[in-house]
Amino acid sequence: MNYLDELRFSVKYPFTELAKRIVSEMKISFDNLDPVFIDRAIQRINQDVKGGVLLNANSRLTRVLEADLVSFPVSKIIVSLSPDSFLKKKFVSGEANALRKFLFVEKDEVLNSLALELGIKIVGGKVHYKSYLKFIPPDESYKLVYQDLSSGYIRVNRSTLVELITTAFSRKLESDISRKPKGLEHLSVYLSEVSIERKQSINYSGPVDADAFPPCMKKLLADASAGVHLGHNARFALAAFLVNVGLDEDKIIDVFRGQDNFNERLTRYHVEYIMGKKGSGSKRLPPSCDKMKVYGLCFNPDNLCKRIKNPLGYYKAKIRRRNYHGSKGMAER
Amino acid sequence: MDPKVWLRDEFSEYYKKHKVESPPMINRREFGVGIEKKIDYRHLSFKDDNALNAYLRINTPLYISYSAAYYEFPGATPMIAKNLLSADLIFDFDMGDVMSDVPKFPRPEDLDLVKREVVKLIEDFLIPDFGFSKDEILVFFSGSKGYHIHIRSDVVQDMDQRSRMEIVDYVSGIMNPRFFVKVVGKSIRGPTPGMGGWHGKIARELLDTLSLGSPVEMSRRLGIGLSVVNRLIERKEQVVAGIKSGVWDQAPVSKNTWYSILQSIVAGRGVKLDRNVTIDMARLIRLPMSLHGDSGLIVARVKNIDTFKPLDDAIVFDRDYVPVDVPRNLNIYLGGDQEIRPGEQELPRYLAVYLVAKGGAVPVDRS
Repeated sequence: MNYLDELRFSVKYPFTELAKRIVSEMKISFDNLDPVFIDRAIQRINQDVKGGVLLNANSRLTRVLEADLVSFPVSKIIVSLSPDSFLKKKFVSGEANALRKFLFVEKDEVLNSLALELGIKIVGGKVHYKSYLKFIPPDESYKLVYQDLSSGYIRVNRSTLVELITTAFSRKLESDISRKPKGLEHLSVYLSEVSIERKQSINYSGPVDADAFPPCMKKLLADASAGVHLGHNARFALAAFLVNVGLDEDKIIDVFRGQDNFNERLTRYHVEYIMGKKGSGSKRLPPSCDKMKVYGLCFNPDNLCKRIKNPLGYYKAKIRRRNYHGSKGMAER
Repeated sequence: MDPKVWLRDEFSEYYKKHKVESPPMINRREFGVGIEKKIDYRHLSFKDDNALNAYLRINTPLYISYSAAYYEFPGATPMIAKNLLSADLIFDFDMGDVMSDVPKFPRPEDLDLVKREVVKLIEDFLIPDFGFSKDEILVFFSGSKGYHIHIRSDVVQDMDQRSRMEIVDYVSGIMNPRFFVKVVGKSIRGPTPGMGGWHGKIARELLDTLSLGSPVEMSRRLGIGLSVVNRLIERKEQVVAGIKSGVWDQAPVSKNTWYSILQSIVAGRGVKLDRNVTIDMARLIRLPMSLHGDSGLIVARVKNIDTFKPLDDAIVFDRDYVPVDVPRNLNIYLGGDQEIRPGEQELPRYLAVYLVAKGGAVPVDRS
């Protein structure tokens, strides 16, 4: 590759050794950064928080490519200096979206070498199950049980490999920006130029809308009403969820009335504990989706489930959507 | 005489004569011990196997378990302060997972049902699919009603909980058949026998079943009615050729019937085990080569699973006679069929220990 090609590659894949080498050979002083790089970095962050950075990876101009390339480490430094976890999350997902677009049209051998650079063990188009599990995408279809696994390796198609690479990149980026670089604190002034739209936090303590419950809670609630025996984890998850969406204590206790070993006093104690009336005094949250999966309580996750980390997030999102669309017809309490 | 006191004396004598080989990196493991329950105390740690064996001789718990996990500070509490470094991969098999009524005195054939699951895991999954070698798969008899598999290879050590859950879901065949049989346009596509993972298993099992002579047996294995089976048999050649090439619409059955057939196939091929033991990295598992307080049998290393006979090979106590009182007539198996009549009598020590541990006899103090 000539320098121009190397630069184009590095703009697309700024996490590679090649990209790092080019940046280091540019001998950039982070104490006295060229304003061009700073402007591009701020622009990059702002584009990332809106969905994904737009890069000029096919430019013929070294100057343009260099600015795009250098904006990656500079934006990372600026974001890492922020205490705002929402900004960090948006930055990572924006970068991941940009990367995914390049990967989709990339040649197979490049995908392979990028995977290897990110620590994914891949041999002859097959990924070792351990790497696969480490970066497994959240969709149900990616579960190990559906994979073509033989002698420790999984035959993966292109889109799966793209997802694995993107996840591996996101993890690495998350960890990079979780540490503040020493001696570069002065760059935090540029955080003021980052504009991030925060969705208004909504009050979802209105009337409880069971239609907006995530599939796991719908199932648990249905099971509880049908008198199906629920284990401890299932009871806690359901009770904590109902407490957090604002259902009355008495109504929550009623939910568990059909349980074979129902004990009103004990149930009330547990519910009040979750509400924070007993014990530590703070309200308990339902388990995260990851925990729910571990407990075997995640049933039929749908598309919205992919984007949330806690069953409560699902409910919030649904309510937010409903409020946004101005759906009427909800009974007021 | 208090049976527990008597049992602990017997165990103590055993531990005095036999050193328990400690697990690798013993100083990174958490231990739990019990007399009343399986685990009365946990958060114990031993710096080496001398410390462990001294504890067994002097404190003599009836049950001792250790962590599959390695910790920086195995004795620290709460759990988070231990700082988990890595963990072995564990599979736990129990009679409770393969039968609804677990007998107090299991017979060899009861334990064979559990063993079948162990063999299934090793031969259908761990070796062909995950690529483990036989040497990496350590099998132990639990000392009572099951088996454990420990995998201590580097490859499993830093796996997180989610990965372990995916592995246990995989081997138990927890799945939705919709991801195997798909409608593409007007055609139904399914897996071919040459594929890896469950895809290949399902296709091969289906072909196997179709080659059976008996429609009744086919109907049982596929979980469908005889009329559907007969329709399949009528077009058998086309159906078999279709499955071999991944085109599953040569059979006169709908997509939904395929789903229910798949469900039946998978139910028989998935491994029945205790999922939580694999997933929960902080779980304590019975210490290999220790005695089990419910039986006085040893947590034996199983070198050859085909020939291993738990109710013979895990016996460690002597054959000299000791006095016990047996309240009820017993017909059990331990090192052979044993018919024990009620009343005070002298029984071989290994049998006396077994019965006392199970509450089937009371030790008699003649000193």
